[in-house]
Amino acid sequence: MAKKDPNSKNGGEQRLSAPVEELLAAALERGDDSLETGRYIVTFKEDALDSGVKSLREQGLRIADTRDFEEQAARLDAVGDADTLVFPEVGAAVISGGSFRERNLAAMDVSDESPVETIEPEYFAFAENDQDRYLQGFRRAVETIALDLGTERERELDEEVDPAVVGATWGLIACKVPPSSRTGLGIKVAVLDTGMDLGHADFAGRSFTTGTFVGQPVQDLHGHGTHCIGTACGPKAPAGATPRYGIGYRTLIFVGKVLSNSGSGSTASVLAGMNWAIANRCPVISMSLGAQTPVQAAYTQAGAQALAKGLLIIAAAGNASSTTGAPANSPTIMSVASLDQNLSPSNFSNFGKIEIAAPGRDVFSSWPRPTRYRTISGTSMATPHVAGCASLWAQTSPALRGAALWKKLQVSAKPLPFPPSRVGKGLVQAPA
Amino acid sequence: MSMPNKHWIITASEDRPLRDIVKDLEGAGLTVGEINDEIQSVTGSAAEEAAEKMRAVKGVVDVTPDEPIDIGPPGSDTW
Repeated sequence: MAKKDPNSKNGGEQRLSAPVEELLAAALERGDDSLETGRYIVTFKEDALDSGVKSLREQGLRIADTRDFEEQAARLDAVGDADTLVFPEVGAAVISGGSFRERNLAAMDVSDESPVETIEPEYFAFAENDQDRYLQGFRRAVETIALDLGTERERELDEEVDPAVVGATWGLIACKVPPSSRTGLGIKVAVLDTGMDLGHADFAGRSFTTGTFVGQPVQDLHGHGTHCIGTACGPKAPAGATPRYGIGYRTLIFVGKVLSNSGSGSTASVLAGMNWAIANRCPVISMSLGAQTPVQAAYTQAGAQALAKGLLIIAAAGNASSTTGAPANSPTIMSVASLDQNLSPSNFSNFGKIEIAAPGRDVFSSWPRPTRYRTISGTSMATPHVAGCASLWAQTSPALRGAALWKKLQVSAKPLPFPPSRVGKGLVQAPA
Repeated sequence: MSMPNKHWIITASEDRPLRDIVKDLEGAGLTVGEINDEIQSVTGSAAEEAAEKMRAVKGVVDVTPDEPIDIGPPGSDTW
Protein backbone atom coordinates (compact mmCIF):
# COMPACT_ATOMS: atom_id res chain seq x y z
CA MET A 1 0.00 0.00 0.00
CA ALA A 2 2.09 2.93 -1.17
CA LYS A 3 0.96 6.44 -0.39
CA LYS A 4 3.72 8.84 -1.18
CA ASP A 5 3.40 12.28 0.33
CA PRO A 6 1.22 13.70 -2.38
CA ASN A 7 1.38 17.22 -0.94
CA SER A 8 5.06 17.66 -1.65
CA LYS A 9 6.54 20.42 -3.72
CA ASN A 10 3.79 21.03 -6.20
CA GLY A 11 2.91 24.66 -6.27
CA GLY A 12 1.68 24.95 -9.85
CA GLU A 13 -1.95 24.64 -10.90
CA GLN A 14 -1.34 22.68 -14.09
CA ARG A 15 -4.23 21.59 -16.22
CA LEU A 16 -4.31 17.89 -17.09
CA SER A 17 -3.90 18.87 -20.72
CA ALA A 18 -0.83 21.05 -20.03
CA PRO A 19 1.96 20.13 -22.44
CA VAL A 20 5.03 18.44 -21.00
CA GLU A 21 7.16 21.50 -21.65
CA GLU A 22 4.82 23.63 -19.55
CA LEU A 23 5.06 21.11 -16.70
CA LEU A 24 8.86 21.04 -16.99
CA ALA A 25 9.05 24.81 -16.98
CA ALA A 26 6.85 24.91 -13.85
CA ALA A 27 9.08 22.30 -12.19
CA LEU A 28 12.17 24.39 -12.96
CA GLU A 29 10.47 27.49 -11.66
CA ARG A 30 9.82 25.92 -8.30
CA GLY A 31 13.44 24.73 -8.14
CA ASP A 32 12.18 21.18 -7.89
CA ASP A 33 14.68 18.43 -8.62
CA SER A 34 12.26 15.66 -7.65
CA LEU A 35 11.23 15.14 -11.30
CA GLU A 36 7.59 15.34 -10.23
CA THR A 37 5.30 16.72 -12.92
CA GLY A 38 2.75 18.15 -10.49
CA ARG A 39 0.12 15.63 -11.62
CA TYR A 40 -0.82 12.50 -9.72
CA ILE A 41 -1.21 8.86 -10.63
CA VAL A 42 -3.83 6.70 -9.02
CA THR A 43 -3.62 2.95 -9.57
CA PHE A 44 -6.51 0.57 -9.04
CA LYS A 45 -6.50 -2.87 -7.53
CA GLU A 46 -6.77 -5.77 -9.95
CA ASP A 47 -10.31 -6.10 -11.37
CA ALA A 48 -11.32 -2.92 -9.55
CA LEU A 49 -11.09 -0.56 -12.54
CA ASP A 50 -14.81 0.18 -12.82
CA SER A 51 -15.38 0.76 -9.12
CA GLY A 52 -12.17 2.81 -9.00
CA VAL A 53 -13.32 5.07 -11.83
CA LYS A 54 -16.69 5.35 -10.11
CA SER A 55 -15.05 6.46 -6.88
CA LEU A 56 -13.11 9.17 -8.75
CA ARG A 57 -16.31 10.34 -10.43
CA GLU A 58 -17.95 10.56 -7.00
CA GLN A 59 -15.16 12.93 -5.99
CA GLY A 60 -16.43 15.25 -8.72
CA LEU A 61 -13.62 14.65 -11.20
CA ARG A 62 -14.29 15.08 -14.92
CA ILE A 63 -13.06 11.84 -16.47
CA ALA A 64 -11.75 10.99 -19.95
CA ASP A 65 -10.96 7.42 -20.96
CA THR A 66 -8.22 6.29 -23.35
CA ARG A 67 -10.80 3.95 -24.88
CA ASP A 68 -12.36 7.09 -26.37
CA PHE A 69 -9.27 7.50 -28.56
CA GLU A 70 -8.33 5.61 -31.68
CA GLU A 71 -6.33 2.49 -30.69
CA GLN A 72 -6.29 3.88 -27.16
CA ALA A 73 -3.56 6.30 -28.20
CA ALA A 74 -4.72 9.05 -25.87
CA ARG A 75 -3.17 12.47 -26.10
CA LEU A 76 -3.23 14.51 -22.92
CA ASP A 77 -3.51 17.70 -24.94
CA ALA A 78 -6.78 16.45 -26.39
CA VAL A 79 -8.74 15.68 -23.23
CA GLY A 80 -10.49 19.07 -23.22
CA ASP A 81 -11.65 20.18 -19.81
CA ALA A 82 -11.33 16.73 -18.23
CA ASP A 83 -9.08 16.68 -15.18
CA THR A 84 -8.63 12.91 -15.10
CA LEU A 85 -7.55 10.47 -17.81
CA VAL A 86 -8.13 6.76 -17.23
CA PHE A 87 -5.83 4.09 -18.73
CA PRO A 88 -7.91 0.90 -18.52
CA GLU A 89 -5.11 -1.35 -19.84
CA VAL A 90 -2.79 -0.49 -16.98
CA GLY A 91 -5.48 0.03 -14.34
CA ALA A 92 -4.45 3.61 -13.60
CA ALA A 93 -5.52 7.23 -13.97
CA VAL A 94 -3.66 10.53 -14.12
CA ILE A 95 -5.21 13.50 -12.30
CA SER A 96 -4.34 17.20 -12.64
CA GLY A 97 -2.54 18.69 -9.63
CA GLY A 98 -5.13 21.43 -9.14
CA SER A 99 -8.13 19.10 -8.97
CA PHE A 100 -6.13 16.68 -6.83
CA ARG A 101 -5.49 19.28 -4.15
CA GLU A 102 -8.89 20.98 -4.49
CA ARG A 103 -10.62 17.72 -3.62
CA ASN A 104 -7.99 16.64 -1.09
CA LEU A 105 -7.54 13.34 -2.91
CA ALA A 106 -4.36 12.66 -0.93
CA ALA A 107 -6.75 11.62 1.84
CA MET A 108 -8.48 9.08 -0.41
CA ASP A 109 -9.08 5.66 1.08
CA VAL A 110 -6.41 3.10 0.11
CA SER A 111 -7.49 0.43 2.59
CA ASP A 112 -8.06 -3.17 1.56
CA GLU A 113 -11.72 -2.38 0.88
CA SER A 114 -10.96 0.53 -1.45
CA PRO A 115 -10.61 -0.05 -5.22
CA VAL A 116 -7.61 2.33 -5.08
CA GLU A 117 -4.22 0.67 -4.72
CA THR A 118 -1.79 3.61 -4.71
CA ILE A 119 -1.73 7.40 -5.00
CA GLU A 120 1.59 8.84 -6.12
CA PRO A 121 3.06 11.88 -7.80
CA GLU A 122 3.65 11.51 -11.54
CA TYR A 123 7.27 11.79 -12.65
CA PHE A 124 8.88 12.98 -15.82
CA ALA A 125 10.25 10.15 -17.91
CA PHE A 126 13.36 10.66 -19.99
CA ALA A 127 14.59 7.99 -22.33
CA GLU A 128 16.94 7.60 -25.21
CA ASN A 129 14.63 6.12 -27.79
CA ASP A 130 13.36 7.80 -30.91
CA GLN A 131 9.98 8.79 -29.60
CA ASP A 132 11.60 10.84 -26.89
CA ARG A 133 14.12 12.69 -29.01
CA TYR A 134 11.79 15.66 -28.89
CA LEU A 135 11.67 15.59 -25.12
CA GLN A 136 15.44 15.30 -24.89
CA GLY A 137 15.83 18.26 -27.18
CA PHE A 138 13.46 20.14 -24.97
CA ARG A 139 15.31 19.12 -21.84
CA ARG A 140 18.53 20.46 -23.30
CA ALA A 141 16.74 23.68 -24.18
CA VAL A 142 15.44 23.98 -20.65
CA GLU A 143 18.93 23.43 -19.27
CA THR A 144 20.26 26.17 -21.52
CA ILE A 145 17.55 28.56 -20.41
CA ALA A 146 18.19 27.64 -16.81
CA LEU A 147 21.89 28.39 -17.24
CA ASP A 148 21.01 31.77 -18.73
CA LEU A 149 18.74 32.52 -15.81
CA GLY A 150 21.42 31.39 -13.38
CA THR A 151 19.10 28.83 -11.83
CA GLU A 152 21.09 25.78 -12.86
CA ARG A 153 21.98 23.72 -9.86
CA GLU A 154 25.43 22.31 -9.51
CA ARG A 155 25.97 19.54 -11.98
CA GLU A 156 26.94 16.18 -10.68
CA LEU A 157 30.55 15.40 -11.33
CA ASP A 158 31.06 13.29 -14.43
CA GLU A 159 34.22 11.72 -13.06
CA GLU A 160 34.08 8.01 -12.60
CA VAL A 161 34.06 7.03 -8.97
CA ASP A 162 36.30 4.19 -7.87
CA PRO A 163 33.92 1.35 -6.93
CA ALA A 164 36.40 0.24 -4.28
CA VAL A 165 35.63 3.50 -2.50
CA VAL A 166 31.84 3.51 -2.70
CA GLY A 167 31.66 -0.28 -2.73
CA ALA A 168 29.81 -2.83 -4.79
CA THR A 169 27.16 -5.43 -4.01
CA TRP A 170 28.31 -8.77 -2.61
CA GLY A 171 27.22 -10.40 -5.84
CA LEU A 172 29.38 -8.23 -8.06
CA ILE A 173 32.38 -8.72 -5.77
CA ALA A 174 31.86 -12.53 -5.78
CA CYS A 175 31.76 -12.47 -9.60
CA LYS A 176 34.95 -10.33 -9.72
CA VAL A 177 33.13 -7.59 -11.63
CA PRO A 178 34.67 -4.48 -9.98
CA PRO A 179 38.28 -5.29 -10.99
CA SER A 180 37.26 -6.23 -14.56
CA SER A 181 38.42 -3.84 -17.27
CA ARG A 182 35.43 -4.78 -19.42
CA THR A 183 32.25 -2.73 -19.73
CA GLY A 184 30.03 -4.63 -22.16
CA LEU A 185 30.58 -1.77 -24.63
CA GLY A 186 28.22 -2.11 -27.58
CA ILE A 187 26.97 -5.58 -26.66
CA LYS A 188 23.20 -5.90 -27.06
CA VAL A 189 21.66 -7.48 -23.96
CA ALA A 190 17.98 -8.41 -24.10
CA VAL A 191 16.12 -8.83 -20.82
CA LEU A 192 12.71 -10.47 -21.28
CA ASP A 193 10.70 -9.60 -18.19
CA THR A 194 8.16 -7.08 -16.82
CA GLY A 195 9.73 -4.13 -18.66
CA MET A 196 11.85 -1.30 -17.30
CA ASP A 197 11.49 2.01 -15.47
CA LEU A 198 12.73 3.93 -18.50
CA GLY A 199 13.11 7.12 -16.48
CA HIS A 200 15.22 5.68 -13.65
CA ALA A 201 17.94 8.23 -12.91
CA ASP A 202 20.69 5.58 -12.88
CA PHE A 203 19.97 4.90 -16.56
CA ALA A 204 19.92 8.49 -17.80
CA GLY A 205 21.63 8.64 -21.16
CA ARG A 206 21.47 4.87 -21.76
CA SER A 207 20.14 3.43 -24.97
CA PHE A 208 16.90 1.47 -24.66
CA THR A 209 15.33 -0.53 -27.46
CA THR A 210 11.94 -1.73 -26.38
CA GLY A 211 9.25 -4.20 -27.37
CA THR A 212 6.06 -5.22 -25.61
CA PHE A 213 4.31 -8.55 -26.06
CA VAL A 214 1.63 -8.30 -23.39
CA GLY A 215 -0.42 -5.33 -24.62
CA GLN A 216 0.93 -2.97 -21.95
CA PRO A 217 3.48 -0.16 -22.19
CA VAL A 218 7.09 -1.21 -21.54
CA GLN A 219 7.26 1.05 -18.48
CA ASP A 220 7.67 -1.38 -15.56
CA LEU A 221 4.94 -1.06 -12.94
CA HIS A 222 5.96 -4.37 -11.33
CA GLY A 223 9.65 -3.97 -10.51
CA HIS A 224 11.09 -7.38 -11.39
CA GLY A 225 12.27 -6.31 -14.87
CA THR A 226 13.88 -3.10 -13.60
CA HIS A 227 15.74 -5.12 -10.96
CA CYS A 228 17.05 -7.68 -13.46
CA ILE A 229 18.14 -5.00 -15.96
CA GLY A 230 19.85 -3.19 -13.09
CA THR A 231 22.05 -6.20 -12.35
CA ALA A 232 22.87 -7.08 -15.97
CA CYS A 233 23.28 -3.57 -17.37
CA GLY A 234 23.24 -1.03 -14.49
CA PRO A 235 25.68 1.84 -14.00
CA LYS A 236 29.31 1.67 -12.88
CA ALA A 237 28.87 4.44 -10.37
CA PRO A 238 25.32 5.22 -9.28
CA ALA A 239 24.75 8.59 -7.65
CA GLY A 240 25.58 9.22 -4.01
CA ALA A 241 26.45 6.43 -1.62
CA THR A 242 24.66 3.74 -3.65
CA PRO A 243 27.02 0.79 -4.20
CA ARG A 244 27.74 -0.47 -7.69
CA TYR A 245 25.13 -3.10 -8.56
CA GLY A 246 25.26 -3.21 -12.38
CA ILE A 247 27.63 -5.25 -14.54
CA GLY A 248 27.55 -4.38 -18.27
CA TYR A 249 27.32 -0.63 -17.81
CA ARG A 250 28.03 0.19 -21.47
CA THR A 251 25.78 -2.46 -22.99
CA LEU A 252 22.90 -1.64 -25.30
CA ILE A 253 19.75 -2.50 -23.38
CA PHE A 254 16.91 -4.35 -25.12
CA VAL A 255 13.80 -4.36 -22.96
CA GLY A 256 11.28 -7.04 -23.98
CA LYS A 257 8.12 -6.89 -21.92
CA VAL A 258 6.82 -10.48 -21.94
CA LEU A 259 5.27 -10.42 -18.46
CA SER A 260 2.52 -8.01 -17.46
CA ASN A 261 2.64 -5.53 -14.60
CA SER A 262 1.08 -8.20 -12.41
CA GLY A 263 4.03 -10.51 -13.21
CA SER A 264 2.20 -12.94 -15.44
CA GLY A 265 2.38 -14.03 -19.04
CA SER A 266 2.32 -17.20 -21.08
CA THR A 267 4.55 -19.28 -23.31
CA ALA A 268 3.17 -17.38 -26.31
CA SER A 269 4.21 -13.93 -25.02
CA VAL A 270 7.62 -15.27 -23.97
CA LEU A 271 8.21 -16.85 -27.41
CA ALA A 272 7.21 -13.60 -29.12
CA GLY A 273 9.82 -11.82 -26.99
CA MET A 274 12.49 -14.41 -27.76
CA ASN A 275 11.73 -14.06 -31.45
CA TRP A 276 12.16 -10.28 -31.14
CA ALA A 277 15.46 -10.55 -29.24
CA ILE A 278 16.81 -13.01 -31.81
CA ALA A 279 15.59 -10.87 -34.72
CA ASN A 280 17.52 -8.00 -33.12
CA ARG A 281 20.62 -10.24 -32.91
CA CYS A 282 21.19 -9.74 -29.18
CA PRO A 283 24.24 -11.90 -28.26
CA VAL A 284 22.97 -12.15 -24.68
CA ILE A 285 19.31 -12.88 -23.89
CA SER A 286 18.38 -13.02 -20.20
CA MET A 287 15.17 -14.67 -19.02
CA SER A 288 14.36 -14.56 -15.32
CA LEU A 289 11.12 -16.44 -15.71
CA GLY A 290 9.73 -19.91 -15.99
CA ALA A 291 7.19 -22.53 -15.07
CA GLN A 292 7.53 -25.94 -13.42
CA THR A 293 6.77 -27.85 -16.61
CA PRO A 294 8.71 -30.50 -18.53
CA VAL A 295 10.96 -29.51 -21.43
CA GLN A 296 8.99 -27.60 -24.05
CA ALA A 297 9.88 -28.15 -27.69
CA ALA A 298 9.24 -24.52 -28.61
CA TYR A 299 11.85 -23.27 -26.10
CA THR A 300 14.37 -25.90 -27.17
CA GLN A 301 13.87 -24.88 -30.79
CA ALA A 302 14.21 -21.18 -29.90
CA GLY A 303 17.44 -21.91 -27.99
CA ALA A 304 18.81 -23.86 -30.95
CA GLN A 305 17.94 -21.06 -33.37
CA ALA A 306 19.64 -18.57 -31.06
CA LEU A 307 22.84 -20.64 -30.83
CA ALA A 308 22.85 -21.14 -34.61
CA LYS A 309 22.84 -17.35 -34.98
CA GLY A 310 25.59 -16.85 -32.38
CA LEU A 311 23.26 -15.76 -29.58
CA LEU A 312 23.01 -17.16 -26.05
CA ILE A 313 19.82 -17.55 -24.01
CA ILE A 314 20.33 -17.64 -20.25
CA ALA A 315 17.40 -18.58 -18.00
CA ALA A 316 16.57 -18.97 -14.31
CA ALA A 317 16.40 -22.56 -13.04
CA GLY A 318 13.43 -21.66 -10.82
CA ASN A 319 12.72 -21.30 -7.11
CA ALA A 320 10.63 -24.37 -6.37
CA SER A 321 13.35 -26.36 -4.54
CA SER A 322 12.59 -28.89 -7.26
CA THR A 323 13.83 -29.94 -10.68
CA THR A 324 14.72 -27.21 -13.17
CA GLY A 325 11.66 -25.66 -14.84
CA ALA A 326 11.08 -24.48 -18.42
CA PRO A 327 12.63 -22.78 -20.33
CA ALA A 328 15.89 -23.40 -18.39
CA ASN A 329 15.42 -27.17 -18.68
CA SER A 330 15.82 -27.05 -22.47
CA PRO A 331 19.23 -28.38 -23.54
CA THR A 332 19.84 -25.35 -25.76
CA ILE A 333 19.26 -22.83 -22.95
CA MET A 334 21.77 -22.08 -20.19
CA SER A 335 20.29 -22.77 -16.74
CA VAL A 336 21.30 -20.66 -13.71
CA ALA A 337 21.12 -21.68 -10.03
CA SER A 338 21.16 -19.26 -7.08
CA LEU A 339 23.90 -18.94 -4.45
CA ASP A 340 23.81 -17.44 -0.97
CA GLN A 341 26.51 -15.06 0.20
CA ASN A 342 28.50 -18.00 1.68
CA LEU A 343 28.58 -19.44 -1.87
CA SER A 344 26.37 -22.40 -1.06
CA PRO A 345 23.24 -23.10 -3.14
CA SER A 346 20.15 -21.17 -1.97
CA ASN A 347 17.55 -23.42 -0.38
CA PHE A 348 14.89 -22.35 -2.92
CA SER A 349 17.12 -22.91 -5.96
CA ASN A 350 16.01 -25.65 -8.37
CA PHE A 351 18.41 -28.46 -9.25
CA GLY A 352 19.07 -31.08 -11.91
CA LYS A 353 19.89 -29.41 -15.21
CA ILE A 354 22.15 -26.58 -14.02
CA GLU A 355 24.95 -25.07 -16.12
CA ILE A 356 26.26 -22.37 -13.82
CA ALA A 357 25.51 -20.59 -10.53
CA ALA A 358 25.43 -16.93 -9.51
CA PRO A 359 24.53 -14.70 -6.57
CA GLY A 360 20.76 -14.82 -6.03
CA ARG A 361 20.22 -14.23 -2.31
CA ASP A 362 19.68 -10.67 -1.04
CA VAL A 363 20.51 -8.98 -4.32
CA PHE A 364 20.48 -5.17 -4.30
CA SER A 365 19.49 -3.52 -7.59
CA SER A 366 17.32 -0.87 -9.20
CA TRP A 367 13.56 -0.65 -8.69
CA PRO A 368 10.99 1.62 -10.35
CA ARG A 369 10.70 5.13 -8.93
CA PRO A 370 9.95 6.36 -6.40
CA THR A 371 11.36 3.31 -4.55
CA ARG A 372 14.53 3.33 -6.72
CA TYR A 373 16.31 0.34 -5.08
CA ARG A 374 15.33 -2.99 -3.55
CA THR A 375 17.03 -6.08 -2.19
CA ILE A 376 15.35 -9.34 -3.23
CA SER A 377 16.22 -13.00 -3.79
CA GLY A 378 15.72 -15.70 -6.41
CA THR A 379 17.22 -17.49 -9.39
CA SER A 380 15.69 -14.50 -11.21
CA MET A 381 18.38 -12.37 -9.58
CA ALA A 382 21.16 -14.90 -10.28
CA THR A 383 20.37 -14.99 -14.01
CA PRO A 384 21.23 -11.34 -14.82
CA HIS A 385 24.58 -11.79 -13.00
CA VAL A 386 25.40 -14.41 -15.64
CA ALA A 387 23.96 -12.26 -18.45
CA GLY A 388 26.01 -9.27 -17.31
CA CYS A 389 29.23 -11.30 -17.12
CA ALA A 390 28.39 -12.79 -20.53
CA SER A 391 28.26 -9.26 -21.97
CA LEU A 392 31.75 -8.58 -20.56
CA TRP A 393 33.11 -11.81 -22.05
CA ALA A 394 31.39 -11.09 -25.39
CA GLN A 395 33.22 -7.76 -25.48
CA THR A 396 36.62 -9.49 -25.18
CA SER A 397 36.28 -11.25 -28.54
CA PRO A 398 33.78 -11.33 -31.40
CA ALA A 399 34.43 -15.09 -31.48
CA LEU A 400 32.83 -15.50 -28.06
CA ARG A 401 29.25 -15.84 -29.21
CA GLY A 402 26.57 -18.50 -28.86
CA ALA A 403 27.95 -21.92 -27.88
CA ALA A 404 31.50 -20.52 -27.52
CA LEU A 405 30.26 -17.94 -25.03
CA TRP A 406 28.35 -20.65 -23.15
CA LYS A 407 31.54 -22.71 -22.91
CA LYS A 408 33.69 -19.73 -21.89
CA LEU A 409 31.31 -18.87 -19.03
CA GLN A 410 31.56 -22.46 -17.82
CA VAL A 411 35.33 -22.96 -18.08
CA SER A 412 36.02 -19.62 -16.41
CA ALA A 413 33.56 -20.27 -13.56
CA LYS A 414 34.93 -20.69 -10.03
CA PRO A 415 34.48 -24.36 -8.97
CA LEU A 416 32.41 -24.86 -5.84
CA PRO A 417 32.33 -27.89 -3.47
CA PHE A 418 28.79 -28.88 -4.50
CA PRO A 419 27.43 -31.35 -7.05
CA PRO A 420 26.98 -30.09 -10.65
CA SER A 421 23.24 -30.74 -10.26
CA ARG A 422 23.19 -27.86 -7.73
CA VAL A 423 25.76 -25.38 -9.08
CA GLY A 424 26.76 -26.58 -12.58
CA LYS A 425 30.37 -25.60 -13.29
CA GLY A 426 30.35 -23.16 -10.37
CA LEU A 427 30.21 -19.42 -9.71
CA VAL A 428 30.20 -17.19 -12.82
CA GLN A 429 33.26 -14.93 -13.11
CA ALA A 430 33.88 -11.74 -15.06
CA PRO A 431 36.93 -11.53 -17.37
CA ALA A 432 39.98 -9.68 -16.04
CA MET B 1 -22.20 -22.88 -31.78
CA SER B 2 -18.49 -23.31 -32.27
CA MET B 3 -16.39 -25.07 -29.66
CA PRO B 4 -14.44 -22.84 -27.25
CA ASN B 5 -10.93 -22.26 -28.56
CA LYS B 6 -7.68 -22.99 -26.76
CA HIS B 7 -4.35 -21.28 -27.26
CA TRP B 8 -1.64 -23.40 -28.82
CA ILE B 9 2.11 -23.33 -29.36
CA ILE B 10 3.20 -25.03 -32.57
CA THR B 11 6.88 -25.79 -33.17
CA ALA B 12 7.97 -26.33 -36.77
CA SER B 13 11.02 -27.96 -38.31
CA GLU B 14 13.27 -26.16 -40.78
CA ASP B 15 12.71 -28.85 -43.41
CA ARG B 16 9.75 -27.02 -44.84
CA PRO B 17 9.13 -23.27 -45.36
CA LEU B 18 7.30 -21.88 -42.35
CA ARG B 19 4.74 -20.07 -44.47
CA ASP B 20 3.68 -23.36 -46.09
CA ILE B 21 3.32 -24.95 -42.68
CA VAL B 22 1.26 -21.99 -41.48
CA LYS B 23 -1.05 -22.36 -44.48
CA ASP B 24 -1.68 -26.01 -43.62
CA LEU B 25 -2.16 -25.17 -39.92
CA GLU B 26 -4.87 -22.69 -40.92
CA GLY B 27 -6.43 -25.44 -42.99
CA ALA B 28 -6.41 -27.61 -39.88
CA GLY B 29 -8.38 -24.97 -37.98
CA LEU B 30 -5.76 -22.66 -36.46
CA THR B 31 -6.45 -18.95 -36.13
CA VAL B 32 -2.89 -17.67 -36.29
CA GLY B 33 -1.73 -15.31 -33.56
CA GLU B 34 2.01 -14.79 -33.94
CA ILE B 35 4.39 -16.26 -36.50
CA ASN B 36 7.81 -16.35 -34.81
CA ASP B 37 9.90 -16.85 -37.91
CA GLU B 38 13.25 -16.50 -36.12
CA ILE B 39 12.52 -19.49 -33.90
CA GLN B 40 10.27 -21.60 -36.11
CA SER B 41 7.19 -21.42 -33.93
CA VAL B 42 3.61 -20.31 -34.41
CA THR B 43 1.06 -19.41 -31.78
CA GLY B 44 -2.68 -19.14 -32.16
CA SER B 45 -6.04 -20.50 -31.16
CA ALA B 46 -8.00 -23.53 -32.27
CA ALA B 47 -10.53 -26.00 -30.94
CA GLU B 48 -9.21 -28.98 -28.96
CA GLU B 49 -10.10 -31.31 -31.86
CA ALA B 50 -7.79 -29.38 -34.20
CA ALA B 51 -4.68 -30.41 -32.22
CA GLU B 52 -4.43 -33.84 -33.83
CA LYS B 53 -4.93 -32.39 -37.32
CA MET B 54 -2.21 -29.81 -36.64
CA ARG B 55 0.17 -32.52 -35.41
CA ALA B 56 -0.36 -34.31 -38.72
CA VAL B 57 0.76 -31.29 -40.75
CA LYS B 58 4.04 -31.98 -42.53
CA GLY B 59 6.90 -30.15 -40.81
CA VAL B 60 5.15 -29.80 -37.45
CA VAL B 61 7.38 -31.04 -34.62
CA ASP B 62 5.19 -30.29 -31.63
CA VAL B 63 1.76 -28.94 -30.72
CA THR B 64 1.23 -28.05 -27.10
CA PRO B 65 -1.23 -25.86 -25.15
CA ASP B 66 -0.04 -22.38 -24.16
CA GLU B 67 0.99 -22.40 -20.48
CA PRO B 68 0.70 -19.53 -18.01
CA ILE B 69 3.92 -18.14 -16.56
CA ASP B 70 3.76 -16.29 -13.29
CA ILE B 71 6.68 -14.82 -11.40
CA GLY B 72 4.43 -13.68 -8.59
CA PRO B 73 2.92 -10.33 -7.66
CA PRO B 74 4.93 -7.24 -6.72
CA GLY B 75 5.95 -7.56 -3.08
CA SER B 76 7.12 -11.17 -3.14
CA ASP B 77 10.49 -11.85 -1.57
CA THR B 78 11.66 -14.68 -3.81
CA TRP B 79 11.49 -14.64 -7.58
